[in-house]
Formats: sequence, structure tokens, C-alpha cells
Amino acid sequence: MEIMPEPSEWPAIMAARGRILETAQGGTLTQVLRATLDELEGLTGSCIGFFHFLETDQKTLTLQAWSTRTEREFCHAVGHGAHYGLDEAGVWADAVRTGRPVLHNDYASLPLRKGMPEGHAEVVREMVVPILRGRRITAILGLGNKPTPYGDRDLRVVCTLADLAWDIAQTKRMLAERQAIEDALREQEFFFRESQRAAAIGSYKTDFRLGRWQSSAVLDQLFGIGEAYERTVANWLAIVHPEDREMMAAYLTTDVIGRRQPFAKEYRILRGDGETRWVNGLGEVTFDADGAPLSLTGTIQDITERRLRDQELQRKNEEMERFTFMVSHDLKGPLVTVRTFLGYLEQDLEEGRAERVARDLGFIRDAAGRMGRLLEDLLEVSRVGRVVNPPVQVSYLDLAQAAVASLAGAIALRGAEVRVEAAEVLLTGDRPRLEELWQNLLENSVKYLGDQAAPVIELGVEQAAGKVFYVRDNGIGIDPRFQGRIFGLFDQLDPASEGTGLGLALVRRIVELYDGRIWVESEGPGRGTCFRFTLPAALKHPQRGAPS
Amino acid sequence: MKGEPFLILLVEDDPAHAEIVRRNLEDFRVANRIVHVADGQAALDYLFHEGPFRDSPHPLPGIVLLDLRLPRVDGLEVLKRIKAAPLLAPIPVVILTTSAAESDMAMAYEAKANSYLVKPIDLTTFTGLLEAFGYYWLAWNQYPNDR
Repeated sequence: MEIMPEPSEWPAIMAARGRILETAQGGTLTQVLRATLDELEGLTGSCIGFFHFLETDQKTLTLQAWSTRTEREFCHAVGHGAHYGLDEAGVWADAVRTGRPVLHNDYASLPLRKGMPEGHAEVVREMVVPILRGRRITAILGLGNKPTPYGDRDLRVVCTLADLAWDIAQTKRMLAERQAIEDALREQEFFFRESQRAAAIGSYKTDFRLGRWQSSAVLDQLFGIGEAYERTVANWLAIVHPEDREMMAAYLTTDVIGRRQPFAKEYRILRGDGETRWVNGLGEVTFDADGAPLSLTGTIQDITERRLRDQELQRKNEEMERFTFMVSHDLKGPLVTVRTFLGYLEQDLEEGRAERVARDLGFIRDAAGRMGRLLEDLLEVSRVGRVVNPPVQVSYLDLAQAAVASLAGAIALRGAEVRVEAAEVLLTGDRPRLEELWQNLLENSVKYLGDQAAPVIELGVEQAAGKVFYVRDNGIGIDPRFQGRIFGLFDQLDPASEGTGLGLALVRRIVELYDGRIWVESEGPGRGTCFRFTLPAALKHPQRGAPS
Repeated sequence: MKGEPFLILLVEDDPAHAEIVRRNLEDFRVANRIVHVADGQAALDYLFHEGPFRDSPHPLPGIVLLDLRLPRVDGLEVLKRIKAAPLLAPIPVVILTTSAAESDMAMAYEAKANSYLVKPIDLTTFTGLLEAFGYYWLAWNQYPNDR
């Protein structure tokens, strides 16, 4: 259907068209449609204007726009985006049903007219034109309530501008859809990238025919490789930690490719910067019809922190087990002694064996004393980290000198020379706890001086490598085989020595409380011992006067 | 009777517990001599004629009474080393410990312990246990002649 305006009608139509196109520059779809309706209201003298899209099912009408005036003055019944089934729609939808423009100049007398919804504009006269593309109706545009009947001129003007409005609407709609798809893609890509980063999960795809793999940015970061890295299967193995390399090569060829199992393995990598990381590799292989591997696609996640936590947990569990062992032995042992020698005591008293009575009592006294010390030390160890004194600033020198003072008797008795390095290092922390740390280490040194003729104990701090404190002696030393054991609960290497074996466990707990590390260096029996430790958290000082 | 009664090697870090074993066996008039060492390393040195026992001409023990929880080298390790040495492996090793832990027993038997005894907490039971030990391992149990 082609309805051409009369030449005299062109100037007004062209002017309106110009204004509509102006609105289309940067305006929204609704704004363009509204501008069209407003222009047509002006050109036809109508008081109502509406624009509906007909959905592709050709059955549903969706309101796209009212004219400015309709919205303001007449219609409050329905809003933008409202849907009508064609079956329920009134005579105004006849343009869809017939595929031709419809003019109702006496609306009130129409027999098939349906009632108006509450708040809907009162309609006295209307004209509705279908907008066709090919043989399909894509939208309808309606005008109403012209004071005089609608005629052919109105029809010509409306059809011309309605077509223009549709073309603009169509372009706008397509642009908007494309934009939405692009936005959604960009969003997905963003989420994918960010979740890879957040979970430290990199992804890869290996093409076995080319013998090469591709990797995501996160994986490159995890592997510590750049763009230029040659991504061959051999070079993946080159990143795998040397100790895991053989195992991983066998795993890939035998299990994953040979037995067609999904790739699922935790292994270590050794990066170019010398750092070892634990990763969890997951993936699946595809095969061609002949059973040759085509590709391996999957993810690799950095699980180093988790592995460290697992190891820490395992260490704690082991310590807990040792604790149980201790309860069943170190506490039960003295109890066996007390009860058994009480039995002997009774017998020996009855039989009047005085010299045995004294021995019995001695064993009982020693065992009871040992139980008491064990309980005290246990409480002390459990108190570290649980009972915390308010942090104060204290110098390393004060702590070292306090330790020397508290052990002055034992030091003098052994004839040991103690040298304290006069360094200025300020620590912030729980002072009694820090005192205990130096005291226990010094006590340990004094205790294990052995038969050294000129015993010397040195306390100091190495300033170079981030403040490493040390307590060094020239005593009996520690067999390298036992150096790993000494910080455990109740690990006492020398049966003849006094004490419960808890001293160094306590020391380690205090060091760990300050995020530090303690280790022992000794070249072996008779070669002296040096304890070194760090206290990073105690070296951080709160800013004075800073707002809290 | 075949010659000298064999030696008992008692590996025990708690002097009181060593005293309990010694007194009981004396009270039963056990003729076997007891050699007491206080840690795992000393036990190994004695058995392998090493360290302080290098030049000592002592004979090997006929039985080892072994505590598990020991300083320096623990009892389980001593047990493994004994059972791994062809010359020492036939010597019965009786574990005598305070630990009644399932895992300790399992590990001890795994390492070929010949018996596992838990130290009782009162004299009567302890005496009863050591008496039974004496009868069984020192009087009734038969050993080959070349010991």
C-alpha cells in the first residue's frame, strides 16, 4: 500500500520530518516515537496519539509511546510496554486485523466497541494506520479526537510520517540490541577474567597436533611466563618442579592420554623467579576417531596458601598427638612411680627396712615434683597467645640483660662467661612473654654447656638480614639428626638433664606469636649450639599520636 | 642348666621404674644379671658394641626389656634396629611402657616386638606382671643352645 502526499502537503511533512530526525539524533526510541506522534497531532489537529509494536507472533500489541498530550491530559490507564492480546483489543486494533488503515469518525456508535479501561481517554473519533514491511504488519500508529472527521489528507500525512518513524525505530532497536549484546559479552568477559584472577585460576588449551598450548593472562602470571615463552608440552614440563617432573610426565602420558582419565592433579611448579608454588591442574582430553589425542583443555589453580595451611594443620595435629602421648607417658610415668613406691613404702615400714624407706620416699618425692613441674610448664605453654599483656616498647638489650640477671646463679655456678651485644633494637610486645623467650634460650644454653672448660654464651642480633636475634654457646651441641625434634612438646634429648622438655616448645610458641621463625645451628655433638630467631611482628611499632 | 644365666638388657629412662623392675626381679631371686641403660642411643651402643661400649667385652643380652618413649633414640627405633640386625634379631624384645595407645602397640608389633606390656599403676599388679614375666621369659621359655 503506497499512499503519496499531495505536493501542497510536502512542505509541512518535510518540516516535521526534519524535526523528528533531529530528535532521533541521540534521542531514545520512545522519544522519537513521541515526537512523531506530537508532530502528527499538530498536523491533523488530533488530541490523542499512540504507537504500538506488533510482535512477531502477529497477535500481541505492545504499547511503545503515547503522545506528550495524551500522556499528560488523557490517558492514565496503561503505561509503556503494556501488552494486549489482539483478541481482547477493541476496534482500535482493526487495522491489524484488516491490514488496512481504519477510520472511526463516530466511535460512540460502533457496535463492536468494547468499554474503555478506567482512566483511559474518552475517544470520540480515531484513525489507526498499520505499518507494513513486506506483507507483515510491524506496528500501528493511531490518532484520535480530531474536532472534525478524519479524511484522506490526514491519512496521507500519517502514513508518510508513520513509515519514517518506523524506520528510525527499527534502526534504534537494532542498535540498542547490538549494544546490549556487546555489553553482555563485555560483562561476561569481565566476570570471567576477574573470577580467574580472584580465584587464581588460569586456563589453558593444548593442541596435541601442534604440540602447543595457549594460556590465559592469569595462568601466565601464575607460571611466571611472558608472551615470548614458547608454549610447548616440553616447556610445560620445564615449569613443573624438578621433583615432580617425572611423575607429571608419566601422569600425562599414562593416565590422562593412555587411560583417558580426566586430568586432576596437585603438583608443584618452580617459576623462573625461583619461587615454588603448589597448583591444582584440572582438564579433559579430546580424541579423534583413531584414538589419537587432539586437545587438552582445563584450568590450573594456585593452591599454595591452602597447602601451607594444610601443612600447618598437620603440624598442629601431630603436636596434639604428641600431647596425648605425653599425657599417657610423661604424666602416667610419675604416677606409676608414686603408687608403686607407696606400696614398697608400706612393706618396708612393716619390715623395718629403714634404708629402703628413705629411697622409697626419694622416688615418690622426685615423681611428685616432676608431675608438678609438668603441670606448671603445660599451663605456661597454653598461656602463650591466650593470656596477653598489653604491648609495651622494650629494647632487646633490656630483655637480654634481664635474662642474664634471672639466671645469674646458674651462670656463676657453671663459671660461664656471658657476652651481651650492646645493640639498640626496639621491640613492641608482651614484655613478660619476650623476657621468657630470652630466659628460656639462655637457660637452655647454660644447661647444655657440658664439660666445656671455658664456657661462653653470646646474646646478640644480626642487623643485616631484617634483624635476626641469636643465643650462641660453645657447649655440647646437638646432633644434626635431632635438630628438627627439639622444638616439639616434651622432646628432651638428654635424659640426665633437669626439666620437662617444654622450654623450647614454649620458645617456639612465643616466636610464632610474633610471626617469627626459630632454628638451631650446630655442627654436631661437642661443637656448640646457636639458636637464631626473628620477631617481625614485634618490630612493627604503632604510630604515636596517630588517630585510632 | 646351661652355663651362666643370660643377661637382661633393661632400657628405661625413668630411674624409679628401673628400680621397680630391679627390686622385683631380685625379690623373685632371679639369677639373671640386669644391665640398665637410660636411653635409646645407649641401648644401641651396648648392643652394637659402639661408642662407650666399643671395647667392652660384654656378652649380648638374652632378652631386652624396652621402654618406648626414650630420649635421643626412641624405643621403636631401637626395636627396628635390633630386628634388622641378623645377630640381634632372635633376641626377644619385650616392650614395657606406660603407653596403652593402640597405635603404639600396632607399631611395636609391626616392628616385630615379641611382647607388649603396659606398666600398671600399683605395686601389686606391677609385681604380678613382673613375676609372670620372670616365669615365662626367664624360666619357662626355651632358647636355642648357642646363646
